[in-house]
Amino acid sequence: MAIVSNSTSLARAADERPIIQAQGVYKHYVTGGKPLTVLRNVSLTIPRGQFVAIMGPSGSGKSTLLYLLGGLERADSGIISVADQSLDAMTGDDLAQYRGKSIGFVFQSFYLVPTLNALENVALPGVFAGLSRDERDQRAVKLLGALKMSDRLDHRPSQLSGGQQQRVAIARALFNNPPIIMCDEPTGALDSKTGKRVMELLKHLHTRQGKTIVVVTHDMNVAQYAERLIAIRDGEIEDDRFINGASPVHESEEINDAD
Amino acid sequence: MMSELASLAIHNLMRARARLFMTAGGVLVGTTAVILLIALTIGLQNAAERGIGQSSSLTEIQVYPNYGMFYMGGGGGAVVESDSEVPVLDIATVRSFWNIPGVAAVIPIVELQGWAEFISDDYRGGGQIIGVDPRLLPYLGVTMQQGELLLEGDTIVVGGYVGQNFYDPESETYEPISLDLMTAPLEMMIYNSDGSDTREYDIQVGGVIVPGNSYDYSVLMPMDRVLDLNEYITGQPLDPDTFTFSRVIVRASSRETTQSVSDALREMGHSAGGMGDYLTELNKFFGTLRLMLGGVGGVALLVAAFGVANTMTMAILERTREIGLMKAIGATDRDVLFVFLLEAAMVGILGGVAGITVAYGLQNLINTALANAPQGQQSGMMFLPVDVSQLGGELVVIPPELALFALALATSVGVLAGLYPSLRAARMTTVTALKTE
Repeated sequence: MAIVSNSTSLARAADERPIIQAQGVYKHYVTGGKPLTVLRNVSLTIPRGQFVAIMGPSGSGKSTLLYLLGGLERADSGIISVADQSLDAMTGDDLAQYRGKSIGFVFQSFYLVPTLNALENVALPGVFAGLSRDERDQRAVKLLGALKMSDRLDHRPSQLSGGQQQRVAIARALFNNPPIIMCDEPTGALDSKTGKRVMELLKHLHTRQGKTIVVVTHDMNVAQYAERLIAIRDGEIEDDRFINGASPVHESEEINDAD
Repeated sequence: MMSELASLAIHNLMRARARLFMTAGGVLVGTTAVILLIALTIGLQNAAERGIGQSSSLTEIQVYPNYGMFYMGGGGGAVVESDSEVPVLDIATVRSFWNIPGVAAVIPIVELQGWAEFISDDYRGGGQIIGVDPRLLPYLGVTMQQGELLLEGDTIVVGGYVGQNFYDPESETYEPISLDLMTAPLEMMIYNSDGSDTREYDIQVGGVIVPGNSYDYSVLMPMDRVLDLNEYITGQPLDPDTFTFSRVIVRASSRETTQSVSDALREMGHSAGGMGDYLTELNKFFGTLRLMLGGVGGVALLVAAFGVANTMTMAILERTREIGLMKAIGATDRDVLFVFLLEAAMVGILGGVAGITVAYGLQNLINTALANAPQGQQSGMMFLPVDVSQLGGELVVIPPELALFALALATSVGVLAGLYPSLRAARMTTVTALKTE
């Protein structure tokens, strides 16, 4: 994987049209009969092509923010618009289509379908996008090839290593060529070396393909790959700054666990 | 799009093959039970209808005077004592029967008002002597086994079983003796009403009616001959003003009009009955039987439905995270619903097709076994109004409509059983589904 880590890519973010906008977002959960405010008056703007890391401790609401931006959940109040489309106004079907077309999700535990092989897993979004089998297979083969997985097409997830599984998941996220990739602890289930390679892959997608990337993590080593760091605590944005000349990632001994 | 989702559903089904076959097996048993039990009633009903004999008897209505009883409605339900004038079958009344719509023929009958005995050499026999207008004979709708349907002079026509019921009066035990009445010498002996006198007549049988109808034990004679005999028996001369017929045979123009003609006759206050009514009752009986047996099969199918529901519920529990993922990568609620409903429907279809196949196999097996079974061992079915000899080796009859109905039923069992679990899957919130362990 010849991934070039280009930490001076901020210049590329000159395109300042916001792709993601959130204004005064609240989200409450009811747990054990008690209402819990997970997000409190969160507002943020992410320009097209930016690599953003959202950091915070467990229960800070960082994952919930990602799910709201990705249209996996609806906000209780506030406005979220992505690519000039208001998510609040969308019907369930519109939202599903939005997720399929505009967002590629990468999750901590990959969420590959265990009975499908790598190729079929990557091609799965094409089923709901209504692509023919030939189209799906062609595109999936290409994507897996680009991720150096050509010799693993017919392997089931159980026959793949963690890093390989996450690469399949990233290929799946790229399947419909979405402008935005959203990652929820993408390295959380991987050892630090494999995690590093996954992050380099994401960085590559950012620099070479101009993808807008939002990564939720509680690992500073992961956050280092971003251009911008948003820190969340108790449902509120605590800090939001650019980390342009980010220092190279240190080898980390710690095995990250789930949020 | 649909076909893409369908192949996904098929893939999902095939991933748990053992469970699929067991669940579909339940539907199979239910479908087979429904088909076979209904097919059994169809076979029995066919046999029963065949047992009724010629279709001519289905349009025949026997009209009797009411003898002071007034029958309410069809089928002989409530019987009410009548205060009003009892309608009688006098000449004017019988003539008016022609005006009922759907009547093809009105055949008045005069019965002998006494006793007659038939003697052939050493043997004696009997029969119900009825007088018929010879011109109306063709409307009786009977076919002849021997001779011809003609009443002239001393020539008479007898029912199919009259010749088989002779006996030897000298014998210790009663044994029926069959005679060929067309060739045997025959005398008829008539007793008058107080038994003080008898008359004997030489008679000639000119025709024998095919058995299997209401004339089996009848002896048909010209009407005026019977009227003469009745004058002798009663010692009273015939009075046209008070004369009434014993009964009237009304023939409807078709099987469909039989019921309305019967009803019209009953409305006039007469007692009317016939094979048409019997057939109506028979159809009611088999309709009820079909519902009952179909219901028993339905219970088996209901059990199978719970199996399908259980399997689908389990599948959805197991695949909760997968459902969340499908939604995250662009599946709508409707896509998810479609995939799971289709899985349930395919369990139904698979079970239904297999059930139909098994049912046809069992049909062949049962009917072949029945055809090869030794005769006279079918007394177990005597409670049914069915002449088992009429089965013709077809106890189980599966018409194509029944097979199609069963397939539709099995499919809807699958869909209905899968509806609730599938709706649950479709309505699951994406994040909740994804985070399910």
